[in-house]
Amino acid sequence: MIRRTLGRLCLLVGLMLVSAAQAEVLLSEDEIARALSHGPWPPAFEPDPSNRVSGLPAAIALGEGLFSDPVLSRDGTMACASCHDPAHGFAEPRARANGKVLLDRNALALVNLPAHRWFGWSGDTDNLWAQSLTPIVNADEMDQDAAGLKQALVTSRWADDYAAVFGPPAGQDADDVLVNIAKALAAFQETLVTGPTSFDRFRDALEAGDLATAALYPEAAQRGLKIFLGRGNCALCHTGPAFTNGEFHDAGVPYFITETRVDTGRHGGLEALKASPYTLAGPYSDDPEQQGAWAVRQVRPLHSDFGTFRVPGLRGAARTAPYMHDGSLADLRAVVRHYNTIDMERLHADGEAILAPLGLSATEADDLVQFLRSLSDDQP
Amino acid sequence: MRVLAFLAGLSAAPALACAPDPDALALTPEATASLVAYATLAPGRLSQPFEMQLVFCGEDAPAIQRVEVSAIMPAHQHGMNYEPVVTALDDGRFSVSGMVFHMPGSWQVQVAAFGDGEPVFYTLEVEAR
Repeated sequence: MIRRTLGRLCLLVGLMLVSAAQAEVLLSEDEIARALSHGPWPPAFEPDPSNRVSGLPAAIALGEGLFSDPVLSRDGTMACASCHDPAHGFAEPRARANGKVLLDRNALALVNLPAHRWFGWSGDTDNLWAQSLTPIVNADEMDQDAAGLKQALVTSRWADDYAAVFGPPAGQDADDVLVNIAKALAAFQETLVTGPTSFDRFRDALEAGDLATAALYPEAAQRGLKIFLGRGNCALCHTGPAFTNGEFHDAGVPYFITETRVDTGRHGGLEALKASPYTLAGPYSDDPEQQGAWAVRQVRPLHSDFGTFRVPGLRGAARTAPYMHDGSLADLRAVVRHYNTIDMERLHADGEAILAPLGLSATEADDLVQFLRSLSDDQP
Repeated sequence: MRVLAFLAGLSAAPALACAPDPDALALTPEATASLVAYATLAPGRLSQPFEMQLVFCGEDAPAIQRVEVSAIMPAHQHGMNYEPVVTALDDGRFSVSGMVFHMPGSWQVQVAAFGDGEPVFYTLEVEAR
C-alpha cells in the first residue's frame, strides 16, 4: 500500500516536472530543428592541410609568443595583440584600429577562425596564415617587409624556437621566413575557440530530448532565439554552429570613410585575393591536394559586392564591442536598434532583399540581446 | 545540415532507362522540350560545396554539347557566390561541382542545355536548410 502510494506520488511529481519543463521550452518543433543547426559546439580540431605546422605544440607556442611581441613590426612598437587584445575577446574597444594611421575598420575578433572560408572583413585572404601575414607587411600597420622580418627574427629571443619548428632561418629565403612566421601565428590562433555556453546546454538538451534541462535556459533568451530564428531574419546569414555563413552582405552600414573615400568591402577584397600569391591555390600552401582552393578559383565577382562585408560569428561577441566593420555601433543594444530601424536608403538598390526594419518592441529587443549574450557566457 | 530537394509534385523520377538514380528529380522545362532532364543533389551543409548530377533523356540527349548551371534565391534577389564547374560525362550526363547554397530557404536551380538547336532551359526548386 505504501509502495503503491509512493509510486503514484513519484509518477505525479514526474509528470509535474515534465509538464513544467514543457511549459518552459518555448520553441516550436520547427524552431527546435533550426536551433539544433547551431551546434554542436565546440567543433573537433582539424589541422589545416595548407599549414604544415597546424596543431603542432611547438608552433602554437611560438605563435603565441610572437602574437604579443612587437618584434614583428618594423619599428618594434606594434604586436598583433596591440589591436587584437586577449582581454577584449581578441578584438579591441576602439571603433577603428590604430596602426601607423587610423585604419578604416574595426579589428575583428580572432576566435573560432577555423570555421571561416574567407578572412578579414572583405575576405582578401582564403586562409588563416595569409590573413596573419597581411598586417605584418601592410605599410599602415606593422609596416614590415620579408627581409626586415627575417633580420628581426634571427636577432630576437624567438630564433631558437623558430629553428626548432622550421629549421635554421639563416639559409631560408626571406619570403619563406615571412610565411613560416605567419603559419606559426595561425597555429596559435586556431586554438582560440570559444567554449560551450548556456545556449549550447539548451541546444544539446533539446537534441537529447531532455526538456527539464532545456527549460533551465532563461525564457527571455528563448524568446530572443525565436526572434533570431524567425522574424528577425538573423539566422539567414548567422547560420551554423559558428553563427555565420562566412559570406558577405550589405548590413546597411555606411561605407563612406570620409565624404570622398569609400570602403569597397568585398569588391576590394576580391581584387586583393586574386592578386595574392598566398592563397590556397598558390605556391605557399603546404597541401599538395590544394583542398579548399576551389573557392578562390570559383568565387564569382558580383556587382553587389561593393560595400558588403563578411558576416561575423556571434560566439563570444558580447566581449568584443563595438560592432560592424567600422565599429560604429557601441554595443549589442545598438546593433539590435540598427536592424530594428534600418535605413533602407542605405542598402544597395540592386542588392539582395533581406533586410527591413524589424519593428521589435523594447521588450523584444531586450530578449534578442539576452539571446545574443547567452552566446558569450562561456566566460565570466 | 541537409539540403532537401523538392519539386512540384515531389515525385521521384519515373524509371526511365537513362535515369541514374531512383531519387533523381525531374527538372521543369521552360517550354515544351524534347528532352527530359533529371537532377540528383548530394546532401550538403549550408555554405558548403556540393555536387549535382544531371541526366538528359531523349533522342537528342547525346547532342548536348554544353550545360550551364546557376541558382538563385528568388525571394532574396541574389544568386550563388560561386561559379559551378560542369563536367560532361557521356550519354547526356553531366557532373556539376562547386554548388554552394549560403543561405537557408528556397533556391531555384537553373540549367541551360546547349545542343544543335536553340538552348533549352530548365529549373528545379530546392529548399536549403
